[in-house]
Amino acid sequence: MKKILIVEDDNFKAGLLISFLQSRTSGAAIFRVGSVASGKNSIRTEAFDLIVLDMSLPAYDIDSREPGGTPQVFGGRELLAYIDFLEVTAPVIIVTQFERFGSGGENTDINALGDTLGMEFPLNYGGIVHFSSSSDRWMTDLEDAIVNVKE
Amino acid sequence: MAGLRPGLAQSLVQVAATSVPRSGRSSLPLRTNSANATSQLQGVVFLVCLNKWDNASFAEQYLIHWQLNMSRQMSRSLLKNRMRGAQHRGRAAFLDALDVVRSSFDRKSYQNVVAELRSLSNLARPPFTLGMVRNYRAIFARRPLTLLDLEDELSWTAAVLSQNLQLLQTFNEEAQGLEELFYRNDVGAAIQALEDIEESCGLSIWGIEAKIILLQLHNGVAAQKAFVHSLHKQAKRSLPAYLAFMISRRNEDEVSKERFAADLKEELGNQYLNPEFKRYLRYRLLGEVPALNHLSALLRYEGTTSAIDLYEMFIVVLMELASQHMSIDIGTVIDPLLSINDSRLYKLRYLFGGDLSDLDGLPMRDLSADNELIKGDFQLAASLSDRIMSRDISDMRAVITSAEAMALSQLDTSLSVLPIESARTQFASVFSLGAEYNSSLAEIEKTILNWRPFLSAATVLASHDLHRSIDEEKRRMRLVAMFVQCRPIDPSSVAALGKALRDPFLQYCAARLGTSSLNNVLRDAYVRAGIMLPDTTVSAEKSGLAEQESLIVTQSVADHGMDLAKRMQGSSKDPIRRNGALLEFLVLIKNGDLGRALECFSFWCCREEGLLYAFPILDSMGKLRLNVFKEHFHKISVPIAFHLQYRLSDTPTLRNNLRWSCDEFLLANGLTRPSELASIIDDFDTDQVIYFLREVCSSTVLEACRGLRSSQEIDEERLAICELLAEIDPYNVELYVGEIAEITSKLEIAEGLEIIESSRIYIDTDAISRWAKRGLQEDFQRYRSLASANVGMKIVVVDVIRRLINDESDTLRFNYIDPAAETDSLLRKMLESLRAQFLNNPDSGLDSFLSMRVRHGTLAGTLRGPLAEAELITVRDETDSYKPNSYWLDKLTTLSLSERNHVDSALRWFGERFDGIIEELVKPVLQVRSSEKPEGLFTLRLSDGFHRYVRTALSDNQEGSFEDFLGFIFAEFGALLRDDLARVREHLENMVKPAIAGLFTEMHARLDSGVPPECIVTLKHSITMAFTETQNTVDYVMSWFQREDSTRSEQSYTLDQVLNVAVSSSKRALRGFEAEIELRLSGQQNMAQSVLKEVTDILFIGLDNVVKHAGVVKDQKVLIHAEYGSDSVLRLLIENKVSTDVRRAETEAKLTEIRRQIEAGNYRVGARGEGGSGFFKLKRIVANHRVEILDFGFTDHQTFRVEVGIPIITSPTITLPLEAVAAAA
Repeated sequence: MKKILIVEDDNFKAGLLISFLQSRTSGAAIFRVGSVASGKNSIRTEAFDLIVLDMSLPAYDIDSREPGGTPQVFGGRELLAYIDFLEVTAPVIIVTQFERFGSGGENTDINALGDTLGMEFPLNYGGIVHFSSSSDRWMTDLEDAIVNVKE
Repeated sequence: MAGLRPGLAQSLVQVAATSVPRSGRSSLPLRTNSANATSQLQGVVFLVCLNKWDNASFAEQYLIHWQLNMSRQMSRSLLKNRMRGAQHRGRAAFLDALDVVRSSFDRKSYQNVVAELRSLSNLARPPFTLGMVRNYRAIFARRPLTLLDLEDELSWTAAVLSQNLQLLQTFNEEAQGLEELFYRNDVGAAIQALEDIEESCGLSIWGIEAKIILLQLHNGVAAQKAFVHSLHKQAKRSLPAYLAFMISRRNEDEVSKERFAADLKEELGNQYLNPEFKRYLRYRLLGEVPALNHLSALLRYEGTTSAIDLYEMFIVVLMELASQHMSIDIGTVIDPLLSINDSRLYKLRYLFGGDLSDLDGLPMRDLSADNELIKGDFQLAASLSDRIMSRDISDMRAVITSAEAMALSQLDTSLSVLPIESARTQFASVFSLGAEYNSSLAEIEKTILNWRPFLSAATVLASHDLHRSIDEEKRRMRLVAMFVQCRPIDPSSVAALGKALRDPFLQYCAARLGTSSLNNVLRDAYVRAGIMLPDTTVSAEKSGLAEQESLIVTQSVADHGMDLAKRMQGSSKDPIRRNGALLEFLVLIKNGDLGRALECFSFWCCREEGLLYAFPILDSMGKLRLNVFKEHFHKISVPIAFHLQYRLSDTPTLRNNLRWSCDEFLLANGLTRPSELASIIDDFDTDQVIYFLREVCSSTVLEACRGLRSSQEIDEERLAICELLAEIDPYNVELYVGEIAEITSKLEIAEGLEIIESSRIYIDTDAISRWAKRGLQEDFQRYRSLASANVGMKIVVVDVIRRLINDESDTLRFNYIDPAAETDSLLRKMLESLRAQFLNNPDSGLDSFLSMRVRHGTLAGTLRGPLAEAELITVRDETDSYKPNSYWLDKLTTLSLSERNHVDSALRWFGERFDGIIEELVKPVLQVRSSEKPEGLFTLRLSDGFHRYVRTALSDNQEGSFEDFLGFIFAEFGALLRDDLARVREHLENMVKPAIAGLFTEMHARLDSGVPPECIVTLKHSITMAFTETQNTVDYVMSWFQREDSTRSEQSYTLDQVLNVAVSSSKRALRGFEAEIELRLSGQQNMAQSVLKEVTDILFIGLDNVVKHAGVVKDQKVLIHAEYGSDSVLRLLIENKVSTDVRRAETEAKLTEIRRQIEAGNYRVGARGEGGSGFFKLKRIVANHRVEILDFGFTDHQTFRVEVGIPIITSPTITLPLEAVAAAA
């Protein structure tokens, strides 16, 4: 892995992801952005060997002057579709803190979402990993996903 | 002739294998698989007579009697005894006996068997032979008989109907008379005629349907509801009552077929009912004819109603079979009924293999109007159609000819109150593909259903999409229905026939018409039937539409269509041009030229709103990937086409395609933002540019444009777009000024406010509004209608229904709730639906954002942050145990092993307890409360008081639109949400913070209990520091539960803010207006957002007047004096210099005329125009208020003044969040 893009708006989670990826991919250049817009911009302008996406993202990077625009509940999915549209070949791994998506009778679990994304974007989709700040199981899962992607 | 069923006969043959044959003559030959079965019959019979009699079935015994040449009297006695015996044992036994009869006998024997049963006097009454129904309870009073295959069911039905010939003959005659009265709009007489039919032929579902539509048309919704109420009193909890209730609802003005169908399907989906019965209800209430293998179920259920209903269902089933070219035994099914003298039976007989002589007794259509229509004399065609209709009202095809003629001659298609003329007008509107296309189409769909009792009308109207439909099966069904139901013979229905029949049929028509002057009609019929190719040398106006249809029928669109499309587009007639556009689109799709197809679609739909619904865009392109259009990204038509598609179907893929195609379009043209289109505007079609800027470039789409990198840039770009639009689309300038003012005020107020992260607590009211417009708008209109008529009721299906319908019982119950509850329950349903969407919509509702952005988002990470930073907390390993804290254990090298273990254990305990607080004390309350999430603090509880409040608000504001309603409800939900948010903050403050504080205290105590404090000073210091940070973090998390718009919506505006925003917005819209504007203010008062809008409108109109009429090019000076007085009225005085030649006699005369028009109340009409309408518009604004101040005129030769006054609402009763205003706008 040479260049990795992380699209994640949560600083805490992003920090953990960066540390983990640095430890597992020696020498890789890791870039991090925090919104759908900056994610799209990065994908358009740079070639990455791996893209790690959060599922829910703000429209713009949030800072002291920017409230974030319209939040995108499935912003990660939009980015995945955008990658597909641009015909970018980089593998994409979704790292999300949700086990279930949606609410009421229309909710779906993380595995079902993974299956759907895999069918919709077979060329890019590289797996979905459940993240928890109080457990490190996600590290094993992410490592497995990276290995699968490499294969 | 009758016989035993093959299986039964075979088994008897086996039994009789050893028996001795006995000679004798059989009057009832058997149908068996064995060639010699008949010869063995007597042996069988003999054996059975001797040994098996007691065990033989009724049918067997009956046949045995017959076979043994016993007297007819004896056979009848047997039948009589068995059926009477069954009757004595109760209804269920009687129905069981009937089932035995149906399933035992061959269908050819049904006529005889039914006649035998009929001849038994006590059995000649319902429920068996139907006869005359005298009370509504007798309809559906028994369970349906067991299922037979379709051919058997048809034969049985024909046999039963043939026992009611006299009744059906009377019905057929009288129903035609009723139809004529209806068509002539003599609805009062039609109602009387219906009562006469019920007197002579009995009650029926047909009669209920007819009465409801007649009462609705004659006396309005209250009258038809009163009838349904009375029916309920007569037959409480019955299926007829339920059907009447549903039909009544279907007939209400505000109910569309689409919505009605969706509600019904949802309701049926929730009921535990026999699927066949659901299909029956769907046919009865929605007109949905099921697939072939389910048709017999329709007859089976209808067999429990009335002879009238069963007969009409019988015709429907036959038409369906004819459209699918199925064969039937006409001798068994149709011939016994011909004496009813119904033209439909003769036509069906012809379709099922009869010959042309079947049609001899039927009249031919008067084709003179059609002839003129095809020749191109549309005015004459319209007038001839009217003449035909007045002479022979039964020729419903003339209505269509008339509608086509109206559309082609562009006659006034304003709505008529007469039902048939109203239908014709709707049809003409659909035919012309005009702006009302979609609403007219919906209205026609509804009319087709509601007019079902008036057969030919409903059928002919159903032909509305023949020109466009590419669904061959659907076309065939409609054509067959037209051929059969339209009483005279119509050559143009030739396509309903199988190909082999078409030419002979047209020759037959030509012979009967006997005139060469109608060659055009026959030629047209040949073309429509695909027998003859269109003559492309004939002018488009004369034959374009027929050719268009024929190209579709003959599948030769791709080869011949484009020439015709272009010729049609060159027509001076709008309907022809639009149909030409549609044809061009079809040709391009057929040829695979997607880019040009999109261009065609966008070009036309930006001009003609109605075409959006006429082009089959979603069917042909809705599922294509955006990449397919890559080479067309430079075209403005691509993002427009996706926007148009997104309007039809709100899917994530279309949303992405819309957003990205806009971005790609800008990039392909070297633009970074849409407003830069101004520099190359001449390269594009103006209508499309306006549509693109106004509709496509919404904030959601702009967010996907790479040139726009922040929320503020989006707002600024939208401002720039509005300025550009005001310039290129002056007709709608007021719209753009309003939006400019809204954005300007938002930006001004946002300036100086602390930025609150907007993504945590968010509800996408735009998306919910889109949902509501699809899902609730009709309910809202219906609520308005029911509330104003003060009528309504509510019926629900209760469980006991299933027993009857599933053939387990003969009781049928529908629960009748409360005659006055419907209106209120409708409002409750709307509010609950909106609440459900507001809270739980999976993509746009509060819970999705709470879940994604808070509960499963940064919450845990954020709260753990200070502890993680101080290395005080570890994570769980694979076994879910907290990992040892190696950081501190490595640091505390001076501790003994037991002390180290103590510290390790304390830190693990601390981490576990801290995560426990997040999982148990924080996350459970950040939920929408439900039975599964009882601790959730987001309730948005809609109390009875809230319902009353909304009901009163709606009643007080009866003119309010659905958008107003949504804005109001979202604002109220916003207020309720603010209460919930306050509770969340309170919980974090009063519960979570103390819990965390307690944890830290206990942590210190734990450490101190096992390790001397002086040995772990650094650790304890870190813990103390982390405690402060953690408390600060909880405060930060609390700030997530504060909505930015809640601050903004409560914000009122000062007078100078209002004026500044209004002036700057007006100047933006009036590009190049460089006047020096002096603002003078007297009095100060905070004002609501609604004032800002009105003041902006007033100042824009005033300044626009200066630009257009002052005649001063340079150094224009305008004084705006705003005064807020003690009478709570804001007076605005606009004074400007005028050129010395402006004040002339004709100018004064014009002003006097404007004042006179305003005085006379004509300002509403005048305000819609452009040029000289500014004062009318000002009057329209002030007329909305209790105090109306408007004065204008020259002060002297160099000064013009306008004074406007409006009372100010200083404390608004309704405060709308900005997002709600935007959504409603």
